[in-house]
Amino acid sequence: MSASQFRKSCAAPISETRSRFRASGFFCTARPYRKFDIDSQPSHYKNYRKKAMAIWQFRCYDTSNSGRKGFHEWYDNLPTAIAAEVDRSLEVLANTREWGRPLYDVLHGKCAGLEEIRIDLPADDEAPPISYRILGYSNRKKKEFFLLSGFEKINGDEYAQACPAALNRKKGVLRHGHKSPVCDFP
Amino acid sequence: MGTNHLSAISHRLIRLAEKFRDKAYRDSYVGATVRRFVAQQIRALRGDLSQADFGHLLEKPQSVVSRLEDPAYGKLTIQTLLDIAAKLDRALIVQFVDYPTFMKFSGDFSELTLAPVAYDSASIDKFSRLYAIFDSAVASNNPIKIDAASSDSVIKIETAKNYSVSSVNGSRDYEAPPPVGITGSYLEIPRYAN
Repeated sequence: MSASQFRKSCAAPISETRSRFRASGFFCTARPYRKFDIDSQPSHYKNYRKKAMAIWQFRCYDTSNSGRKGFHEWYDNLPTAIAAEVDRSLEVLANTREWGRPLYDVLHGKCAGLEEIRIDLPADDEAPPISYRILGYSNRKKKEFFLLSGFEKINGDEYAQACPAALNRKKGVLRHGHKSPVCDFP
Repeated sequence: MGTNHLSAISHRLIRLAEKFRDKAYRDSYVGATVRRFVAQQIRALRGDLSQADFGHLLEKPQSVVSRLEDPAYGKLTIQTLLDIAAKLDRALIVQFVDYPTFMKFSGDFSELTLAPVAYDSASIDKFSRLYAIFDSAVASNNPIKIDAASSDSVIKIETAKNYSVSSVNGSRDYEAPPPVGITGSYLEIPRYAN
């Protein structure tokens, strides 16, 4: 209910019963918004809720808002096995309060303003380790992370191309309101 | 079927079930889950200790702790895990499970699951006593008394058969939300106060 609607509902002539309620301040007293504080709940309830709720939410850069463009173009073309690794990494992060290495890092230098999600697969006896990176940025207050783009990291040179493109997308979201709807993994 | 009313858990399970039709996906997802979960558990069990201090506790160098927390390592042996479990006085389960069990397990990121409590003889005694109470309650078809308010953590009791939610609701000592802890053949009972 907006503030003006609230005022109208208080001023409108209403039934006697409701008037009595109004007189008691039931309808018209402005009550402060009470944030639900899960930490103050009993532990069994807290554990149940924590099983049900992720802490962080992901938003995928997708100007078309169709779930096929932007970040999805990269994700949808990943080999299935890699997509599973990406899914699990994002799922773990979504349920982790404080992010840090080895799953996440803040970038500097030419990539300043961006953060990365690090997906490293174990080295095989015959093959070198495989690494993927997802570039994005976070809104810590809202516990949201914006997934902008991803790439396979081979020797680190990939950042030179990936960072400017990701920064451009970030600018698109922040300044021009480009769409980045909520997206779920897996 | 409309899915708007479903919880986040149900949405996750529906999406996973769809993706698991692909064998390459489910193989990779299981591997990623196991590697990341062990790394997460080590990190959660370390708590506020530095890697060096935690390594001292485990009688291992800091570099080993760093490797244990690295989900990309993936070469942990069962013996290493058993050694860590013994040093931290926690139990360890390594078992093959069916996919529904795995899907349920892999979605649990609660603090108790990530950092289980160490061995405590008093809670083990309570656990065995509660099991006996629960057993006789089920056998005599009496509702079980659950003291939810006094709990600091929960005790999980496995039942021989599925425990119905309605019989838990029937015991008036249980606080909202009623279905908490009912997971198939498990009943999580908050600890009794002494």
